[in-house]
Amino acid sequence: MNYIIQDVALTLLPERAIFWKDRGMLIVADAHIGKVSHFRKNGIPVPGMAERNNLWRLSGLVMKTKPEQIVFLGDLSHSKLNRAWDQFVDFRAAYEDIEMVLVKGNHDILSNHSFDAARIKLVDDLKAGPFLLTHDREESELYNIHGHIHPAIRLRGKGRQSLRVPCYFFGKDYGILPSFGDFTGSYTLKPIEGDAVFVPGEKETIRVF
Amino acid sequence: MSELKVAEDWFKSKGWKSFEFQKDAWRACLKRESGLLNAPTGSGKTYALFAGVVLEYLKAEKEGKLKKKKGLKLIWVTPIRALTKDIKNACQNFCDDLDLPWKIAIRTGDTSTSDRAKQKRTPPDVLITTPESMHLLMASKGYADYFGTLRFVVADEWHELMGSKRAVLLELALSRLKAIADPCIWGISATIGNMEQAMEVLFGTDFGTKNLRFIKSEIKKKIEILPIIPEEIEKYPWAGHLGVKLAESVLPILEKSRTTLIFTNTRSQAELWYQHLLNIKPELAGLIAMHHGSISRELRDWVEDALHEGKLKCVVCTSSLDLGVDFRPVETIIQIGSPKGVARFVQRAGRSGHSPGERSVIYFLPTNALQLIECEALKAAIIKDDLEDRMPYIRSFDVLVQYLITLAVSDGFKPKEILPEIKSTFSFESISSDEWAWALNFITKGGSSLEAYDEFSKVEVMEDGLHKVNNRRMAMRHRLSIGAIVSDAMLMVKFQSGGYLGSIEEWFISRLTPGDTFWFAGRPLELIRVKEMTVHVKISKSKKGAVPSWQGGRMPLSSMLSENLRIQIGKIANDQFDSAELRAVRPIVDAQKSLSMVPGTNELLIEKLNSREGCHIFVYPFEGRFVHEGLASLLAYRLSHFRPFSFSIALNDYGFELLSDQDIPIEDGVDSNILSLDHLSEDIAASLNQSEMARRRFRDISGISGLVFKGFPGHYQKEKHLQSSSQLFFDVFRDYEPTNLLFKQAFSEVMEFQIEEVRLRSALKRIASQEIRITYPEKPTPFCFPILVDRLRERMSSEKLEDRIKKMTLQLES
Repeated sequence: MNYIIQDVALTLLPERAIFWKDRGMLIVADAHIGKVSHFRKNGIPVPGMAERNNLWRLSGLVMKTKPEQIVFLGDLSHSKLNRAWDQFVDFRAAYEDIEMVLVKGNHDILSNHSFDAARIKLVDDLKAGPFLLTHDREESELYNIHGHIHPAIRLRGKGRQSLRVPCYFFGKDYGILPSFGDFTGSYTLKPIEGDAVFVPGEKETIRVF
Repeated sequence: MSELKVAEDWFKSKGWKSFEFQKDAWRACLKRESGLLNAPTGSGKTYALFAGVVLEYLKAEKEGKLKKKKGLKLIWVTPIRALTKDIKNACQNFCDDLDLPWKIAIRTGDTSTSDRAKQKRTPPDVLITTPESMHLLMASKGYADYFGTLRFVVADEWHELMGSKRAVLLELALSRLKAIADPCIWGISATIGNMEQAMEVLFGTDFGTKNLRFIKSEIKKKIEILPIIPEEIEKYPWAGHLGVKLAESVLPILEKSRTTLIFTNTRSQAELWYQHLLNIKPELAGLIAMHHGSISRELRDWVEDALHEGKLKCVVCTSSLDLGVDFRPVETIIQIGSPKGVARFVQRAGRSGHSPGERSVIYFLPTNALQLIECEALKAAIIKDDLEDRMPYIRSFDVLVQYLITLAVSDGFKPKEILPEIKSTFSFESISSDEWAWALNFITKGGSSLEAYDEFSKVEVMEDGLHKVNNRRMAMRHRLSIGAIVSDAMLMVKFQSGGYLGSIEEWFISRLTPGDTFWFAGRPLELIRVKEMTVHVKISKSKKGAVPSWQGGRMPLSSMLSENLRIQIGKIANDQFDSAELRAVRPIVDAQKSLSMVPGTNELLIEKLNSREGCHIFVYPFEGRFVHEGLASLLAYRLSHFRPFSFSIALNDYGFELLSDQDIPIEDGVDSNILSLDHLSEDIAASLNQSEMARRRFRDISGISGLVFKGFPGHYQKEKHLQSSSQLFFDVFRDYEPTNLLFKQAFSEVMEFQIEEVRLRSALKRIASQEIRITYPEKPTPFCFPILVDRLRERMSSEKLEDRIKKMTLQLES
């Protein structure tokens, strides 16, 4: 599903990431790499495979879109250093041609050195065309695209059907990405007139508002 | 001289006569036997066992058989904290009069840290406690010495524990105590349907191999049930569970009686009734109080004391006052709404009329018109002594995992030594070696992770095979999460000026903003702010405000009550209005008959109705909510063989509804025998995967097994990066580790407790012999109306996600 905002065509992928084709830029928010491992290290047995899958999905996405640049909109990592980060570093090394930028999020508490060593460029925000890319919302002249919130939406249908699903959410001066990571929660938003909401399905992204 | 003399003399000095069952219990204790005492509340059951324990001790002392005089002699386990104080007083009185210098202590979640430390340094002679606190003791170092001198364990109100996972906690604790000190074990239970099984669950594999005593008290109370019949039944609501419309008719009852207990089924209902009674009769101020589980211990203590002293005219309460010692001034009971079960109703009735031979009086206040039929069913059930079974939990791996970690946190355990103990319990008698290996693997390696460089750590296996938790933070987190009652995150409610009012569920507060008013503990409170885990409030001037609704108020009608209800429905189908209740409800029955029909005992009624919302199917098996939930998802699943459907499901104790945006071909379904018993197990299993029932069950399981740690009121959780929800866990297990025993447990619990497969099967068998009658009412009938208006719905869909989303596109909530 392509959505044109500020005269720019963005592809809202069903894999919960945005691809800006003209710039070759893949935008991924809230991957929370290492969350599962952090739990396991603290004695809470989340299936370890859930961690693996995050990276597999990310690799799949890279192969599908072939980006020149990946921008992580914060919370790339979940907590302290653990071995899941090593796996991410391996993943990063496998795509050394791709520039990777992290807009620092509240969970990104790893030392700057860890990011440097992985050749991840660390920034507080990133201006790109008409957009200001950040982790959480920021006041700006530019259209702010951010993550952090893990947005979801509750849909209601005939026969008292109801469904709560993660979504892409675009308001008047900001747009929010769904969280990329598995095993991350979500927060329900309510749109108002003028907003645009998209739900990533299994194979396609559907506009619902 | 009889060994019983000390106790008999004491009874005489009090002007009481000892009952035969008490003497039986004393003799049994003297012989160091174990067993079950079947006696109701207020029968002197505490003295039957406590005096027995003392007699046995005195005898052993006299015969010089005591190795050690100091140390713990008796653990008295009770399911609710509210009872501990009264038990302590009763025991203390006896010891004081006998000049026995025993120290009797209470240990519950309310016990202060300093008192706990004191109890640890110098153990009391008698410890009154809960199953959770026993496990907490086992989570502290050197617990085996602490329990080493134990001579008796009493499990009070065992019937109450038995239907919950707390019984599994107790079974496991007993298995450990038997190995440490081999105490005599006694259960005390009110009468339930499966009395013999109650014994089996308590004693595990000792049942049938060891000589166990069963002692039954001869006391039986007469119960008088008085329905409160609305004057204009035509105007009384067809649906509803509050009943405040009838509040005026409660006033003369309060007037007549010294003290009245008003039982409601939920805490929010108690708050509403309390508020409403004060509104219509302001003179009650100071004479009326409220008692429920979310109110602070201090407030509840005050209410209980005032009840004893006869200072209160009326207390609005929930099951928090179901159990316990008698409040002598209580003369009358009022039950608001369906009690859902015969045993619960009998228990509540028993809270009035205490002297032997005196009758218990209980009023039944229907919250909707049809409940009058239920009242008649209750009467019939009580006459026949139809009491419910309490279903024990078995193979609760969540509790097992928690217990193993508890042992690992204190002194560690060796699997080979602990397994035989665990296998001696009723719950885990059938555990296989694979399952045992899974449990050990789960706590030491974090499940089936095959990754070579996985960093999982929790229980470490030491060189000598000892399984132990060495990390202090992990040990502390575990101690904070011991127990088998899982509630939503609770916040403390405090006055800004100081003073603790009680605890409240986080989700309720999250809907309010500072300045809003809500009712809690019988007072209108203004929300000032929420800080960490505390809600700061002040008294509000506004009299209007939200009433918190605590979850858990949706108990199902028991099988006993359902069975008797079906008999009454059969009677009204034949125009047999042979009691005041049934005659009163006649106008409603007539309305049902003119719009649709009332099914006879050999008929199953299905109503089909179209509305703007879509096509509604109502089915009325009169089997109680849980069975209906299973039947509804089974029917939904089988209908999806015709074509993909999305259903929303609502239900009550009388029937259930399937609602869909497209026409439901129920006629074709009936023709193709959609309610048959064929392939039942497979179809249930398949329907479970589509429904949300297992997911809901997993909430408790993930809490008990320590996956989700919510902390306690007042304990602010600092480890933010470890926060998660049972929902997320359910998803990752489903996707990556569906063989996990905790995940599978969610499904088997649904089968056993939710759907109650046995009951479902017998319901379908009954339906197979019935004639199915489909009616097409033009507007909602008295039967379907309460279900139709229920907003709390389950959803089940066999449509593709994308198709569902596309259909819902335009109906987004504004």
